[in-house]
Amino acid sequence: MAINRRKFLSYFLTAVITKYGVKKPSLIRQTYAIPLPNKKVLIHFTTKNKNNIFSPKPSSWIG
Amino acid sequence: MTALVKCELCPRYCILDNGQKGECRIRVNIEGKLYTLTYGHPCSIHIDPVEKKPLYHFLPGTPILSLATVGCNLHCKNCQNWEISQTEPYQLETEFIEPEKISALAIQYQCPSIAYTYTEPLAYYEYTYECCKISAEKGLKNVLVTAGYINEEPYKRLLPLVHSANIDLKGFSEEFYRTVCDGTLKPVLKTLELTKNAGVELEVTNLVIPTMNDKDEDFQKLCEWVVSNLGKDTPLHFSQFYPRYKMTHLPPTPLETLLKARQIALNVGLQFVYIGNIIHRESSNTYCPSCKSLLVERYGFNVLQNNISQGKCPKCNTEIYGIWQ
Ligand code: SF4
Ligand SMILES: [Zn+2]
Repeated sequence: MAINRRKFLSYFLTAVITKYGVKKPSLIRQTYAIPLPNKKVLIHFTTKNKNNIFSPKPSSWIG
Repeated sequence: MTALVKCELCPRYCILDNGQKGECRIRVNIEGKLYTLTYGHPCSIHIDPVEKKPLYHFLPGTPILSLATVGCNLHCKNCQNWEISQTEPYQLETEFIEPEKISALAIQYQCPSIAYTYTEPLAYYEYTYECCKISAEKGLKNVLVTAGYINEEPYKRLLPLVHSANIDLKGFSEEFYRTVCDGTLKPVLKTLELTKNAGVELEVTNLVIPTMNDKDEDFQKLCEWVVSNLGKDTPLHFSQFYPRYKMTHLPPTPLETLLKARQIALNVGLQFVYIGNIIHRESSNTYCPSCKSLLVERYGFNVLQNNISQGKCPKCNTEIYGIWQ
């Protein structure tokens, strides 16, 4: 099941990260998202960033 | 190091790294904050007959302004709208339409209600919410056409703004939801109960897919659950499947299967059972549960006669579930 697999991988990765002494990134919980109403803002954002948020990526961060 | 964001809108609980989108492709972590990419960018706006949603107990014969943005938090293999539901934001050219403009369009085109539909309105949540809020203030009615895959807290926040909902109950097993929809059943059942308990006019749709959810016991279990948890007055629609997306190897649902499902539902005690996506006169009409007289006659999406008067059967005065004016 997708969620359980993700949870498992998340625990596994956390364990690996902790073992190798890498700082675990903090986790922010958010239910409501901030509107990005203006297309231009978004394009501006992507040109400034290496992370191109338009490019298709695997849809969950470790899955 | 940028923070990871855990989205708590739906039961998927995506954990997103910087620049990464959720399973719905709508929500993204940008430097530790969760943003929605499709707010104000509908990819489809149409005026439909309300019967197309399908809603048979809500303002019969009226037009409804219907809209969607791209994206969905489920990935059903039989999706009829996969070109918009399973695509990336901005792959389709869209213009910015603020929520005020949506209600203005409904008024301009004389639609008494607005449907958030086609893809998944609960995944483009913030846009749905704002449009609902402004439309309700203007006296318009809000309709959700949804798979109901959302967490309780955000759903409860939206419900007071909603007047009617058609919620898919796509199957009645966890296995069906896992294998066909890439989701789970339990949250959907919760959403259905919350909707009915909130006094929203609720209709349920079950799309019948040959070999996947068309066994007698599938129908039996689903209908029994609806009767005991939502009530026998809940309208139930059995819709015909049509081969699409990743399910082109299966045939369309035979009429006999749909009629069989309808009969099982009636035997279980449901009062309003319809079949859809297929023309069958008797199964698209509404009859009085007490005196059996014809209340609403439909042909396809057209209403040929509507005899309901002030929400009641004109013959025996039985109150008929729904929003009729
Ligand atoms: S709404 Fe989208 S990003 Fe949020 S948990 Fe669900 S699929 Fe993931
Ligand atoms: Zn009657």
